[in-house]
Amino acid sequence: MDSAYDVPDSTDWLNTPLNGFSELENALHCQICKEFYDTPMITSCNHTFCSKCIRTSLSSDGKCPACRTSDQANKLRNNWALQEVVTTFVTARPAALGVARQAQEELEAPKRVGKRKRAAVLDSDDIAEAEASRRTTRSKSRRIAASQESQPEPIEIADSDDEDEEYRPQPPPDDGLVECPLGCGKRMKEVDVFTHLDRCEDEKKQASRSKTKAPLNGFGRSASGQNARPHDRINELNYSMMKELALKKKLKDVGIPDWGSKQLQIQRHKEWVNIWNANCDSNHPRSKRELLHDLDVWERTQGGRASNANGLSSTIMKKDFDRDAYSKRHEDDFSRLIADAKRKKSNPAAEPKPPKDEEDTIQQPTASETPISTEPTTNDRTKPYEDNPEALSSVREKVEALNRGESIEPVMNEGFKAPATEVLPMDTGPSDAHDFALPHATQPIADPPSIFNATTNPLDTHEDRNASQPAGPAHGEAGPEKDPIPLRRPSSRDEHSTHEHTGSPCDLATHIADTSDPPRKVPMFAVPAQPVGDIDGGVAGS
Amino acid sequence: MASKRLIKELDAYNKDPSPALKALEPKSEDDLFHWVAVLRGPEGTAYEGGRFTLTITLPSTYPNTPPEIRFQTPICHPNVNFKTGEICLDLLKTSWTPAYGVVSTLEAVQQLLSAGGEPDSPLNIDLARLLREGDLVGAEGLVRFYTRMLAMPR
Repeated sequence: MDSAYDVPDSTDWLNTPLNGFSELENALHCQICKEFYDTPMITSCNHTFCSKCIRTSLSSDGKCPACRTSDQANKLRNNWALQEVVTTFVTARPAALGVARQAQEELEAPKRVGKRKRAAVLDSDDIAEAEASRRTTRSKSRRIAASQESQPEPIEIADSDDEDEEYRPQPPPDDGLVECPLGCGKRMKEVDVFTHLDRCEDEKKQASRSKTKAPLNGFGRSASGQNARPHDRINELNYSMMKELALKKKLKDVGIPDWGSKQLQIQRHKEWVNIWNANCDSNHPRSKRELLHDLDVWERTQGGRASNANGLSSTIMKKDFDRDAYSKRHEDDFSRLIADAKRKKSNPAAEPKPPKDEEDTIQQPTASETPISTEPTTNDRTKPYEDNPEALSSVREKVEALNRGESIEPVMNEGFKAPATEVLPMDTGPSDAHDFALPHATQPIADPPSIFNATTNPLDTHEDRNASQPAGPAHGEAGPEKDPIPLRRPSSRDEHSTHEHTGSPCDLATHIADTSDPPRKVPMFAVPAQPVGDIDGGVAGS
Repeated sequence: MASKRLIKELDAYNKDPSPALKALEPKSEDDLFHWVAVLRGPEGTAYEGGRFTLTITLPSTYPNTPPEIRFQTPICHPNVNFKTGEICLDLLKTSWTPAYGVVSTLEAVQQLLSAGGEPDSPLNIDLARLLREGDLVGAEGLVRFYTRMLAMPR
């Protein structure tokens, strides 16, 4: 197999005498990327993950992946000890694995000498190779270390040389020059002393700085890296508060691409923050160019240049929810709903309430202001709201108010609903007064008939009607009303039918209603056809 | 990151297969983000002996977002949609964490089968209704029937 496919894994140990190492190796794996820890960080709940992994995870859901307690990226702390364990284990691993495999071979084939020998030879070759590579890397690193160690020496020697030089000129004092009183070792003419004093402090500071710097540099990569190291972590921004232009500018400022939608820019910035901060955590920080390369990889796999083939599937709960695909997928549902709503609007038979209102108001005065449907009422005097004193009293109140010639008060119990369309108030105008259950029971405001009102209202009432069915009285109407609307949601029909068979008093009402079906339909259709202006006229007339 | 980890998971599975699974592999060689798994019906349940094929779609943001797992073989379970194969399992939605993997998630699906499911949030209403009304014999018979009819090789 290609070495690229030979993924080192904890299962490598399973078939060897050292199978306990499998667990050990697993313990050294990050739970997120399932690889050896890379710059392990401790969360505030004391779990450890790679820096990049935990930062990405926290930025996406803000919780520790192991225990689901919420945490913040800025509370992460380096786990240096674990880092050391991991690096040493990784270097020791190939040799140990080689030994373990060899031992296994010997265990498996103790008798077939020739084969074993060859195998052993092969294996020892492998080991030798591994060892060699390891040795080269080690010796390399030793060499590097040596060179690093050797580096400071000349600098220090140079330093001491300087000192020597400084000490040497001390003996010849009689050259007419004066030594700097601050002890910087310089000699000058007496006249120059004061001007020198001004500069001396600065020079001294500079000198001391370069002196402290030199040995630091001498410690080699990590220290020199530290100079190049981006000290300052960057924070995620309050994206929702930012305008797109400002965000673009931010992206430009940190030096990453700024194309794409705002959503994409946000994601890119988050990714960059994670890459950058993870690099800050690292012992061996990489250059910004490498980080940008990482970002580019992200861009191609998950960002703007990623093919949408994968990833779309699980977006439903994500912020980058794909609207188009969703609407396409549910087009049928949407069109059905729209058709439903339109049908309801065109024949607001969905408001079969007029007759019902009629029944509700058992009092006599109703007849005066409900000229709409007088015929069917006679059938349905079954005291539908008998069991609902609250409703009854409110209905009575309204009716009395009407009789006194007052204008109709809006019924506020469903006040949050949008005022009805031009159709609804007109037939509800008078009837609203009695019908507490109607959601659009507001005063007949001549609201501009908008599409939204038109579509939502029938649905609302539809629901409402369903809700009120169990109460009993609605049955009487629901029965006949089924006919003008052939396509109703099956669920409501089901519900209806179940109710139909449960309540005994309702059965009677249904039957009666059914018989009175044909005459009743007429007013229902006739009413909505009238223009809005009639409401006022009608009310005033009554 | 995603593909690297997927290779790792696949490799780990191939070296140390899970008893819950009969097979687990990518649909095609060059697409690492669509897998197919064959789940064994847990023993001692009405699903015993069944071989259920599942399709696994892995988002590019995996493991930070959960994989999408569906039953391809129709299965009669209160929390699985019989037609679409959609699975109602919190692990696949809200309580996903990157610490889980594909194999462990599939094991959780198997546990969902053996636990009998949660009839109070059903995707298979008919079976859930049977269970809720306490007709365990009927429910088990139904499950056994569908398992035998649809998930058993012959």
